[in-house]
Amino acid sequence: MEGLQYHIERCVRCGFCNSICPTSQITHFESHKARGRIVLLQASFEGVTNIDLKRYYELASLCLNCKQCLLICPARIPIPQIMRRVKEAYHIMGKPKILHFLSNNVPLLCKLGSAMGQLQRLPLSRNLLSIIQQIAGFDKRRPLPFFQRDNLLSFSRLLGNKAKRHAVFFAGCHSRWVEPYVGHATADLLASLGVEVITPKQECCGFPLLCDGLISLAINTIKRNSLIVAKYIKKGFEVVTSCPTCSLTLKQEAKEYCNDVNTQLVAEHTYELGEYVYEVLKSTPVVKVSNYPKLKIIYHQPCHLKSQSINSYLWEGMHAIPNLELIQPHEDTCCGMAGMFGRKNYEVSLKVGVQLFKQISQAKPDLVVTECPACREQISYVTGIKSVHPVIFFYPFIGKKRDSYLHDNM
Amino acid sequence: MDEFNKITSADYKYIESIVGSSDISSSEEELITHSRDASTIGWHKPDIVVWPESKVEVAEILKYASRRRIPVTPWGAGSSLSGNPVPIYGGIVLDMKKMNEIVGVRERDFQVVVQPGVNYDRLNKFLSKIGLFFPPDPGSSSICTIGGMVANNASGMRAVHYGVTRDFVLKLEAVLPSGEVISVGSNAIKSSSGYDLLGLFVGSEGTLGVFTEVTLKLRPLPRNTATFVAYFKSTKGAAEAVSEIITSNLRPAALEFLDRQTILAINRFKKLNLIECEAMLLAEFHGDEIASSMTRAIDICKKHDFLTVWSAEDDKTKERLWEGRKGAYSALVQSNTLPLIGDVAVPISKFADLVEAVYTLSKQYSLSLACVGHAGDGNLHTMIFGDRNNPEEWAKAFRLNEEIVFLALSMGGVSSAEHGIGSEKKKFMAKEHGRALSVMRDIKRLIDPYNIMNPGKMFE
Repeated sequence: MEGLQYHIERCVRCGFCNSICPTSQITHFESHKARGRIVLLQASFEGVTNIDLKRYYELASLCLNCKQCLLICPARIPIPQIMRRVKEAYHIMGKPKILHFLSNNVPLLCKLGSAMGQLQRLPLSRNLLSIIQQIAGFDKRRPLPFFQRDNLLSFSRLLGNKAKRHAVFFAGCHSRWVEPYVGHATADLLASLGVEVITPKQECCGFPLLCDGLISLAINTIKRNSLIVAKYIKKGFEVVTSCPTCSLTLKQEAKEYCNDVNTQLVAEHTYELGEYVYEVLKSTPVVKVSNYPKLKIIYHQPCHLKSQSINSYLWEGMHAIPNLELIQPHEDTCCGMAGMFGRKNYEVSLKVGVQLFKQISQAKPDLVVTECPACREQISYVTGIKSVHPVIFFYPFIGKKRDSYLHDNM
Repeated sequence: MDEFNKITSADYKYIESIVGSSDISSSEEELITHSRDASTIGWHKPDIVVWPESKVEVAEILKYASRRRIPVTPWGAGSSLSGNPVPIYGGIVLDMKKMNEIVGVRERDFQVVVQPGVNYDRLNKFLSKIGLFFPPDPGSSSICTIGGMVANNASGMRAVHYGVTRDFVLKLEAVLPSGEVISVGSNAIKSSSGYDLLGLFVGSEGTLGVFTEVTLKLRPLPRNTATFVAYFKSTKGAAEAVSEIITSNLRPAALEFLDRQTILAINRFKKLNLIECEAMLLAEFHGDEIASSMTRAIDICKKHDFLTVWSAEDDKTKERLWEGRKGAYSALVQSNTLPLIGDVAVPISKFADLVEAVYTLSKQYSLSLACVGHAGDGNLHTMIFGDRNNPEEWAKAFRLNEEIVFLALSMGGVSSAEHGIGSEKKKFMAKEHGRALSVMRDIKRLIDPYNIMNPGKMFE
């Protein structure tokens, strides 16, 4: 915590962070809000209070790591990073770190589910998954997704001499085990732009571990990923990911915790998918088809895209598609899922998203579009409306023969 | 010196019976987070924090607190810069956040009725749907509450044209320390009936009672706006242009002064390409005659050590410029140490003299200083950069601030234009108000005989 004392002392307590912090909107308790969490640490450093570390940990755990406070804080106090250090301090004090590790080890959970294959549908298997949920500290009311087989390597698209650019696809856990269609569509879209896509061995981006203060474990994960990906960057590859959280981690978070050359290199060469498409085309992508079904679609911009100040380029590109009625919520607020947060804080998570869910439900769309897999899961779960990644709207653009995911599911 | 009682378990139980167990707390985390605002005054923990939900609950609490001689400090968003909501004598903090309903709009009268916990930006977002707005626009608009704004008579960049919060409050429902609920003001635009109690309560910083409902006058959203930036070779030139624009009756909607240090910080952190000169003015005009007003204002600028001028053509550019101005404080905070913020105002004819004298003083004190302000109404925010961890330097910063305040007072100005007195500026009250201060004390005693309402604020 010592390193962060400087930042904690710089907070002027203006409270601007409270105006945007998701948990600040749902409670009247100051200590449950972004500013309150920092004020408590200020008081602690100044010897004014003696709140125990467990309570700090509980309050710090209310931070969703949406990073919206960083966009508004006058002094740019890294509040989420400070909260992670509080959690780390709690883990170091000898608390049950292993359980926290299990609850944030997304690949392990995905692999377990995936290994069960179709058996996941059997009631007995659901019971087993429910036990896993309990061990990991997940709320049982939140259903786990149906895990798919990891077909990471099938996302590659080799173009040989036709390749104009080369990209490593950082798939992210969700594309690998829950929604492989996003990976396939991403690879297809990039291939159609003359980008050769390869998907080397990779791990979770490390964000869930960071969020729960398991920083040394996260650093190891980040470094292992960087080592693999940097080799390709040195050969002229760029890095593309369809997940805004992976993009945030690879571009910004990782280099804050790891100052090795590889991680810095990855940070400099990573793009969020829409951002990369824009970089290649120097414009938003255009779909040259007219046979789209009539659809009313509402968009939700994920917090992690906002926090990187990246435009929603694919959503912008969708505006050229005929027959689509595209709308945006009046107030596009956090959905409350925030990855593992929504599994561990079920009720808070649903409360945070209330305003967004209300707007989506009232709009009665056929589909919700959002880049973030966690947002898709939350919005579909609460509103019952199918949520998809915008990349699927660019299937026809690439002249793919098979039916698109969209048509299969409508 | 008044004697106050600490909260006992019996007091806690009684107040809990009024508001319910979920709206009262004595937890260390809530006491700590209600013991400081955005000012430099230290930690002052309350005994309990209470979140009332109705005027009946507020009345019951104040009646009880008066009987038991327990201090009560109302709390809006805790964003005050002068220590106004900090419970320096402990007791009860009355956090008004749960009274946050927009009660109703009287569209044909251009009026809105709100509870005190409504946030300024939220209110204006709501009002924009019917083409109206509540103009004062304080820098803390994203977080501040209407109750806090009224208690503080807050204002911001648009005050030069539209006026301050006081100019928009038509009616207040207030609970007195005795628990009695009174209504002051009316829905009529003018009144010559009786003492102006409404005027007394606005800006009273929670020392006379607690507001439970506020009726505000509104304005239609401006249809046409025009923005320009004028650059100057000297701060004196910019300040003189301000005085002449105002005295020429051009009525800008905003007229902001930014010095070199502020410009550098905005360019660096807000990514604007402002010309890095000694000073600039950012001006906005609203209404039907904006083109001629702009031309006349620019002509005035050209007479005063002028460098160049630039007009914003589209809404996006205007928005970026005003975002840059609103972010001036944050840009300065990121470029420097945390500043000591001043809030003086002087008559417009003295504005140029004040600006010059402030820079001279900062040189004498060898302290870095930036000036940014709502120049059009003579309001200058001085940001004195001293090291808070160096007691000697920090004390020097306070002495420089004092000199600036005394200078403003000698020019016929005020120690605080929009941040309020709170605890931080009460040392200036005697000099600023002379014998009138004792009349203020008498009024306070009359309404609050046991001094339970926000004791220690404005004066002892």
